[in-house]
Amino acid sequence: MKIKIDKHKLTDDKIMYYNKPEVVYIPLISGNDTDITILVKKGEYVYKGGIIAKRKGDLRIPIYSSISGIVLDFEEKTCFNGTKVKCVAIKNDFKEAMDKKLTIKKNINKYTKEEFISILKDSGIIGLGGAGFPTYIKYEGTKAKTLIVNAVECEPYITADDILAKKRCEEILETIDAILEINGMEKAIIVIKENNVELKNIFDDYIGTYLKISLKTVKNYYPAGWERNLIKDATGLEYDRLPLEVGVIVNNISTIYAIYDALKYGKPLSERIVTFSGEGIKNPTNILVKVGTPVKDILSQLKIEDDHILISGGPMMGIKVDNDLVLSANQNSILLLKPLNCKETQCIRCGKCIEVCPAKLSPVLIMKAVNSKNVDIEQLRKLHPEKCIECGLCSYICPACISIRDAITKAKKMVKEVK
Amino acid sequence: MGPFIKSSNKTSRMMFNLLIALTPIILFTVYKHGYIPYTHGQVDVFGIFYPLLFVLIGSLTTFIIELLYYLIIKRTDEFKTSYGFFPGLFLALILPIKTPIYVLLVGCLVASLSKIVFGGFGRNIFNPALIGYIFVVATFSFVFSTSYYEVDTVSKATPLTNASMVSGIGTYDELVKPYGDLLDFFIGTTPGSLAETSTLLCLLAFIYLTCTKTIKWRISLSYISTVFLITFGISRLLGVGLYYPLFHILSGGLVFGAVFMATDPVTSAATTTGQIFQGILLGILTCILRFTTTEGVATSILIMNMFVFILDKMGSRVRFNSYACLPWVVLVCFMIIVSMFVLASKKRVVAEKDPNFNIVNKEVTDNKTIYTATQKGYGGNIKADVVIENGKIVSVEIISHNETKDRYQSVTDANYINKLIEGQDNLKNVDTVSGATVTSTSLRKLLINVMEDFH
Repeated sequence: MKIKIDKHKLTDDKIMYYNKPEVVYIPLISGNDTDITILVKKGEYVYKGGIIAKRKGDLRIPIYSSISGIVLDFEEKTCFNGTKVKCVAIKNDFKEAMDKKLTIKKNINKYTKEEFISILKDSGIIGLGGAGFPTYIKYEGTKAKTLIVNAVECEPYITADDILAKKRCEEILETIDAILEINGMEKAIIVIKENNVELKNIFDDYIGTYLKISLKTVKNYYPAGWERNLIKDATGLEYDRLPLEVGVIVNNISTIYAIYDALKYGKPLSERIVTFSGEGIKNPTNILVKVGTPVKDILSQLKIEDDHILISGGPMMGIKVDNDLVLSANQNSILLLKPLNCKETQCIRCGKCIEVCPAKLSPVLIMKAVNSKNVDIEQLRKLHPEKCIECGLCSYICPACISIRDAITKAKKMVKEVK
Repeated sequence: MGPFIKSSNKTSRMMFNLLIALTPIILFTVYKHGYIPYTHGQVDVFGIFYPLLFVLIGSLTTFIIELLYYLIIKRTDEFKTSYGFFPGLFLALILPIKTPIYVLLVGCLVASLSKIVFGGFGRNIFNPALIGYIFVVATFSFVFSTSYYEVDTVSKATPLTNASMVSGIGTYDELVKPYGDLLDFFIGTTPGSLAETSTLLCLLAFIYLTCTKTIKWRISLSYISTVFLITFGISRLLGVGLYYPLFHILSGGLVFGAVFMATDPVTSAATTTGQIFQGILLGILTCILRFTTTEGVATSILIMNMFVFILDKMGSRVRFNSYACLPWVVLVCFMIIVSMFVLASKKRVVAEKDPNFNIVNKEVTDNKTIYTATQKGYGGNIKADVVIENGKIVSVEIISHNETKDRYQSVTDANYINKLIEGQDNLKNVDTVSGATVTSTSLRKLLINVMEDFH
C-alpha cells in the first residue's frame, strides 16, 4: 500500500538570503560522527573556506568555516539530530575573505577522475538529502554505470531541492554531464515526482542537449525518495545492501549543485538552501543560509506564531529540537508545527503499520516483542528491526496514535548492542 | 519524537464505521423479527421493537460490566477507548430471537469476562462475543432448537439444521425449496439468528468496511472463497448443481461471521499473508464442522484465534522472502483436497444407506407386504406401519412419534400422509409442509426408504 501525503506547498517561488550572521557556530559533526580533531585555537583568525577541523578515521573529510572572522570559543549547541554538539563559534568580520582566490574553470568536465575525487574530498561535499554521508566514497573506485539524481523530495513541506532545481537547472545538467564524462558512466536519470509539472517543464526545456541524461517521473507517494524505492521506480532494479551492486550511484540534486560550485569555483560547501515552513510560520519560504547560522537569528526575521514546536527536518522523519539549533550542511528544513493532539490508546492489531512499511517489516510485531517483559533477542532478530529506515509511516498511520517508530528504533538498538 | 503529522485514521473512527455497517442489519432484523410477526398478528406493537431492545440489552450489559471492571481497577480513562458495548451487541446479533433474556445476560457476562481476563480491550486472544456464544451453546443448548428462531407460531428449522437431517448430499428440493429459492437465502428471509441471514446486507457492509479500510477484507474474502471452493468440489464429485455451494455460502452465519467476526482486528492476524491463510484455514474448518455437526463458523473462528500468532510469524517472514509461505501453500492445498474427498465420500456413504431409517418388522403374504419401520424425525423416531399391495402403498399408519404437538398437528392438518400416498410414484416431488419441514421430510423419507427396500 502506497501512502500519499499531500505536499504543503510554499506560497512563493523565491529564495531569500540570510548571509550576515553575527556569529556562526560550526558544528563539529560529520554524518553522525563527532570524533573530530579541531585545528584552530581561540582567538585565531579564520578565512572563509578555511579548514577548522577534520574528521578522524577513514572517512576523512574537512570541516570549513563558512565566514571569515575570529574564533571566539567552543560551545555546545543543538545540532540537526537533536543532540548537543561541540561547535566552533566564529565572529563574523563580514569581509568574506578567502585565503585563496576563487578560480573559475570554464569546462568542468576536463578534470581527471583523481582530481574529481580530491575536489569532492577537499570541498567537504556530503550528501545534502539528510544523511550527510561523504559523497566522494560513492565515486572512489566505482564501476557504476548509472547516476540517479534524486529530485523527489518526498517529505511534506520541504521544497528546498525543488526550488534549487528550478533556479539552477542549467548548472545542474552541466554538472551531471561532467560527472558522467569524468567517471566514464553511461547515463543519468533525474527522478522527479509526476505531480511536479513545473519542474518537469523547466527540465524539458534544457535536457534535449544532453543525450545521456533523461528525466523520469515517479508516483507521488511517501517515501518515494528513499534510495531503494527511487532506484526501483526509476530503473526497475532491486538490490540487497548498496545501490552499487546494480551499478547505480544516487545523489541528491542539492548535492549535485554543491559539486558544481566545487568543480567550477573550487568553493567549499559552506551554504545551502533551507526550507522554513509549517503552520507556525506565516510567510513560509526557502532561505539560503550559511552553515552554522543559529536558527534563532533567522526565525527572528520571519513572522512566527507562538505555541508551535520547532522541528529539525521534515514532519515525518524530523525531530523536535530547542531553538538553540545551529544549521548544518545536511539540514534541509526547519518547521514550526502545531503539537499533535492525539492520545495513545490500546493497539488493536489492525495491521495498518505492516501494510504501509516500505522496508517490509512487521512493526506491530516488533513493538510487541520489544515491549514484552523478557525480550527474546533471537525472536526479535528474526523480525529484522535493523532494516527500519525510520520513515515514520507506521506512527503516521497508526489509528491508536502509538509511536511505533520509537519502539522499532529501540529494537534496532537492542539488536545492535546484544551480539 | 516524530512524525509530527498524523493520518486522519483513528480507532474511534473505525469503530464508528463498524456501527454504521451494522445499522442496516439491525434494521433488517427489526423488520424480519418484529414487523413481519406484527403483520401476522403474532406480536403487539411493542413486539416490533423487541429485536432492537434485545440488541440494546446485550450491548448495555457488556458495556456496564466493563465499566465496573475499569472502575474497580481505577483505570476509567482506558474504559473510554475499550468499546465495551461491542461484544454484547455482536452476541445479541448471533443468538436466536426468542433466547430468554437471562440467557443473553449470562452470555454477555461470559463475553465480557473473556475480554477482561486477558487484560481488556486489545489484549484478548479470543473473540469475546463468540466465547459468550459458545458458552450459551454449551449450557443453554435448547435456545438453538427450531422454535427459538422465529416468532411465528409454526416455525421452520434453520436451513443448516434441515440440511443435517437430510440423508445424502441433499437435492435442491430438499435443501433450498422448503425456504423458497436461493434469492430468498440471499436477501435473508430464511430462519436464523437475529442478524446472520441477510447475505445481501452483509455484502454491502463488507464493501463499506473495505472501502473505509476498517476491516481486514482479505480474511473475509479468502474465508468465503475457500468454503465455496470446497463445497463446489464436493458438488462436482457427487454430481449435483451449483445450488449446493451457493446454499453453503448463503446459509447460516458464514457471511456475517466472515465479515464481522473473523475480521475482529484484535483477534485476527495482523500480517497480510497471515490474514489470507487465516481465511483459508477458517474455510476448511467450517466445512469440516458443517459436515460433522450443523454449524461451524463460531467454533472455527475461535479455533483459529489460537493460531494467529503462528500465522503472523509466517506472515512476517513472507514479507522478506515470498518462498517462506510455500510449506503453508502445500499444507492448505493438501487440506482442501483431502477435506473435499473425505467430506464428499461421507455424504456418498450416507446416500447409499440412510442411518436414520430402520426396519423393525417385515411381513410378506402373497401380494401384500406390511412394513413396520422407524425414521428419525425432529424429536426422535417416528414409527409407522406401511402396507404395500401389488407394489403400491395403500396405507400408512403412524404408531408412535415424538414430534412437537404443533408440528405434528400441521402435518395432519395438511393431510400430508394422503398426499404422500397419492404422489407415491414420485415421492421426491411431494412438497413438504411449511412449519413442519423436518417432520414432513422424515415421513417422506420413511416412505422412500420403504419403497427402496421393497424393490
